[in-house]
Amino acid sequence: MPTRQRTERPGRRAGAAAALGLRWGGGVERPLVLLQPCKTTAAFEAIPDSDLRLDLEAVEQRLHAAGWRTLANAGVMLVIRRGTDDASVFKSGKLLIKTRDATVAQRVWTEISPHYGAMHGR
Amino acid sequence: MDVERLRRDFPVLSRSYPNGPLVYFDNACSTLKPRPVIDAVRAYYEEFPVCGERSIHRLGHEVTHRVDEGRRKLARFLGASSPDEVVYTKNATEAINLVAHGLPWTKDDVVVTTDKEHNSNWVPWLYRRDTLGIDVRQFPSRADGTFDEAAMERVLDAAGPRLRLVSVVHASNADGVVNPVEAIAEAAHERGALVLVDAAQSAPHHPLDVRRLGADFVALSLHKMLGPSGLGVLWGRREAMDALGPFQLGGGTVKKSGPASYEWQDLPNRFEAGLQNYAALTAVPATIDYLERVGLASIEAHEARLNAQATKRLAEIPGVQVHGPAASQRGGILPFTVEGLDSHDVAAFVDERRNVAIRSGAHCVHSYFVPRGLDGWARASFYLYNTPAEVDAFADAVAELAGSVRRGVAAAGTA
Repeated sequence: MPTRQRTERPGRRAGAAAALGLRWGGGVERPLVLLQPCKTTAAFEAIPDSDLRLDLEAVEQRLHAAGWRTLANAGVMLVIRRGTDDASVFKSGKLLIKTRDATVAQRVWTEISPHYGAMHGR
Repeated sequence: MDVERLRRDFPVLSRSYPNGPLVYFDNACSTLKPRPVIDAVRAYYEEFPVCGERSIHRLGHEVTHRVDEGRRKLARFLGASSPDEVVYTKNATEAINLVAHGLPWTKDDVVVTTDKEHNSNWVPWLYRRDTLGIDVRQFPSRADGTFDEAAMERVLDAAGPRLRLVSVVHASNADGVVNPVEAIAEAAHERGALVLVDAAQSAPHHPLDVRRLGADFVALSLHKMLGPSGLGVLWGRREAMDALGPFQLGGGTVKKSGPASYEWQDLPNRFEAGLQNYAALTAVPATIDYLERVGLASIEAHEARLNAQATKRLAEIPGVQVHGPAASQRGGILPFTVEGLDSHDVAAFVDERRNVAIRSGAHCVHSYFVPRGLDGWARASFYLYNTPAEVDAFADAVAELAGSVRRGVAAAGTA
């Protein structure tokens, strides 16, 4: 069974996320679940409550500007790295964060998700 | 075996999804459930949602009757001498723990396993080592993951007279390799040791006769063989079961108790403490009936065909590596990696792109992956309702992924 942890609504976060004008689905705040799909696996998934349709090319450009680099681009999936943080962004909005540490997963989500929101709904 | 007709028995296969029909290749984790099993679980909650094996009222009888019927059918299905040898647990893990906690250990007793055990058949022994001082050893597989008889003999011989238990996986959940447990049991018994077989990945796919295996204990999980969640089995030879102490005690495990005494119950109830998972137990007859109608030999042959097809397709894709021995030695398990990608990326991609459900990571076999410096494998695992068309959809998705990674590498190289 996945370990499920409901997070704050991204749009309500203070600081950087809010400053970037984080918006989901054209401005509607949407809940998110952060879950560890396997209790012994070094990965967390941050999953929107329903599938998004991200413009991954635009997301990739924003991420590059924020210091992330692309390790692989498979059309519906970007595998990215910045420093010691590894993640994969999916067209559906799902984010796979490769860590065993829930705090790191939460931080990476809050750093990457604004780049979804800024692109989505334009 | 009419797979298309069988597929209609599995309601989840008719669900619609935005990215195409479900392709479920995570069967080594848990199988889908057919309508008769679902109906049996629902019948428990709607018609007789009460205690079994205790109450003498009509509803209680309905539960007890089905529990007894399931145990009889399961005993016959497994080739057990008696239904009394079949103990229900919540899963194979609990069944193994029952033995790990129940055997009367002496310090320095030796337990030997393979080097490719699920944590369920590894960590309990490490815990007994740390708490009781037993000695735990592994014998290595060959480089391709197959059984190495000479290595086993060396480790068993080195254990000498302290060898107490040989506890081995029958079919590996990581690479599907089937160990020759009959030969292992013979080698262990010649040295006076007991034998436990983790059959969680063999019982659903391969005709199993626990007495022919030669084992003393066999653990399995019914949810991996079309049965309801939360139900496993420990089969044990009566003499071996009689040597086990209690794992848990309470209601149902004693005939009577007094202010200072208790009288232990007969097999199998002495190991089934407290109220049981009756919704699952009352669905055992439907589970066994379904498997027997289809036939384990037919299921095994079907999986082998699918695995051969999938292995061939994946082996043709540049950048994809299939692990373990030839498909014919991997049952219904296909472990693979895509060069340059984490196994979780592979699993998440095929799920996102084609709605293909596979597993990724170390598959709870860390003691095999970690010493080899392996992060993990993606794993497809097949069952009776899977089709060649699904294999093609899966292979197409993997090919698309591997191709996009190669193009990305090429683009980076010219930038």
